[in-house]
Amino acid sequence: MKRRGIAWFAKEGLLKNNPVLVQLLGLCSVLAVSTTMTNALGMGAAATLVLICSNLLISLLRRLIPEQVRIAAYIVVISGFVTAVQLLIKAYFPAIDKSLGIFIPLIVVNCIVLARAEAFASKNGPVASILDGLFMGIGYTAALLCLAFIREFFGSGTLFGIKVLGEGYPGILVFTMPAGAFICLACVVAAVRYFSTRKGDK
Amino acid sequence: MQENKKNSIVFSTLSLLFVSGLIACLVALVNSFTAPVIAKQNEEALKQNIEKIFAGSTGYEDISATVSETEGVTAVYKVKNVTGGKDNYCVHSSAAGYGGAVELLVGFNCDGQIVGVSVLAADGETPGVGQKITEQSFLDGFTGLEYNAEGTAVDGVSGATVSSTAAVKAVNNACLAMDKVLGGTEGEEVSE
Amino acid sequence: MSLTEMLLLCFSAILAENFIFVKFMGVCPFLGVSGRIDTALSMGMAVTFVMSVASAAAWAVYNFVLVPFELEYLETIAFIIIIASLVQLIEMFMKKAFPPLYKALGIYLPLITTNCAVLGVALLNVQNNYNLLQSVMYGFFAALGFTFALFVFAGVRQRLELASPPKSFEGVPLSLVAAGLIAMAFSGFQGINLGGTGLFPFTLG
Repeated sequence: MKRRGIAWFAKEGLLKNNPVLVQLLGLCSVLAVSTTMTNALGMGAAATLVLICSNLLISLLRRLIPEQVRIAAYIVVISGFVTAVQLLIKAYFPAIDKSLGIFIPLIVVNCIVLARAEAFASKNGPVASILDGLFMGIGYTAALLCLAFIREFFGSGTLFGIKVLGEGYPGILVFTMPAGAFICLACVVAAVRYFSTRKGDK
Repeated sequence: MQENKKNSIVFSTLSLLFVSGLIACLVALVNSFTAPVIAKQNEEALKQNIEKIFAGSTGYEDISATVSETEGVTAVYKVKNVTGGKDNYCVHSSAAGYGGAVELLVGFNCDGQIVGVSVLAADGETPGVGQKITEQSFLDGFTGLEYNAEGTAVDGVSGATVSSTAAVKAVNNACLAMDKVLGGTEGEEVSE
Repeated sequence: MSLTEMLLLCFSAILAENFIFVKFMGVCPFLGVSGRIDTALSMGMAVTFVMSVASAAAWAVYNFVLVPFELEYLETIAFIIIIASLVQLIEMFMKKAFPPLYKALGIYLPLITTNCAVLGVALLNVQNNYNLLQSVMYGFFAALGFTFALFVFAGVRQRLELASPPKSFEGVPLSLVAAGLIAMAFSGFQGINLGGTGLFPFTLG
């Protein structure tokens, strides 16, 4: 097997194959929880933890799980870790649990987790799988934070709930509404494409 | 060939069972140490919210079991009066808002007058629009209102949003439960 | 359940609380299959079927298995297993009993397992304390709303193909902008049933 360094995984997860901005996976949660930076960070951390754990376990069990039932097995593994993470968040970060609500259990059907299990963890060793999960998770979190920054900054003039644009700022409501989520995401994806093609031209 | 196929089905099932068992153990383990923390947290949050309404309250008692089921009402608590005298009440009620339930804790004094309202959950509400129901100026609007037999204390609020309608609805649900608690005892007093 | 309540639930689940444009559930398949009107309708029908049946099954398992054994914390695992096996069963049943239907919907069935709208409905039913009838109705109408969104958007996307946007906006970003504009229109529906009724008629006294 090819030996790959941390830099390779970092570049893959954050830029070249960013799960949200390039692969366009898991958009439901990205659109829904990017209303504030706090939500985005909480969701990103939860998803990253699930990604690392499920990637590790699936990689360890990859020789044991037969071909025909592998998807079922992956779903069981992922939903188990999601439940564990949900319980931990409920116990130690109740505020985050309240504001993310149903989107924590919905990590189960977040295509990113299943896609990494199927495309990477089922074919690679545990260490590589952990790194892959970590950097894919960071890539997802980075995209979420980027979108949340735009939406929270313009939508309510705050960052992490702290006022940065002064008391008088009325907030541009459309940014916090569903319509704003779709349009902001479109602009971020387009910007990423614009800069990556320009870099390629040079 | 037949033998092989059978084996593979048995093997698949066994390995799936093994994975499920492993995950079940893991989740049960996590649950065993988070469950008490979560329960304690809920209790702590409830205590804090009750104290927010009745400053300096020393204790409360869950009397939900004695109140017949009311729509949207999760629990009814009897709160000890710090100044002595009759007990106060707190009702945990909810109504569907914009992006999930709006949950309120409504405090009543012994006469059925609303002393204060505190928001337990309203996180699905739109920031800047629906989240206004968590502001004190909105919640103070309920203070001093009295329940009536139909369970309505409030008819509506001006500039209604889905969230504020839900908050009004939740307060009215609480009033219904209150009617069952106080209305019942008052009836007894009359018969005496 | 009175007729007015049913109509109100239908209205809110399809328009005011539309799963895609308001609740952001099921956006992935939405972008994937809304390219053509006929595929959009087939996918919508498959989702409607699975979502209604899954709502009922999830309700039964939650109330008859998880609650009595105090295993509520396992709801996510239980529901996803129900949905996955249900999709598998429906696929096998359809293949045997209704080959033409299977031919039309078959390829969309596996996609439904990972559609967060299906799991979302099951979880929301529990969160909102719905009874069996309310759960099934909510699942059915929410899925109709999903289908409606797919259908409307497929129409828009066929027009988008003729547009010539800046290069970086081609494809998905342009679709997202269009989805944003439709979402804006959908947010108008939320203002309609405010007159003291709220969005979920069932919680009314």
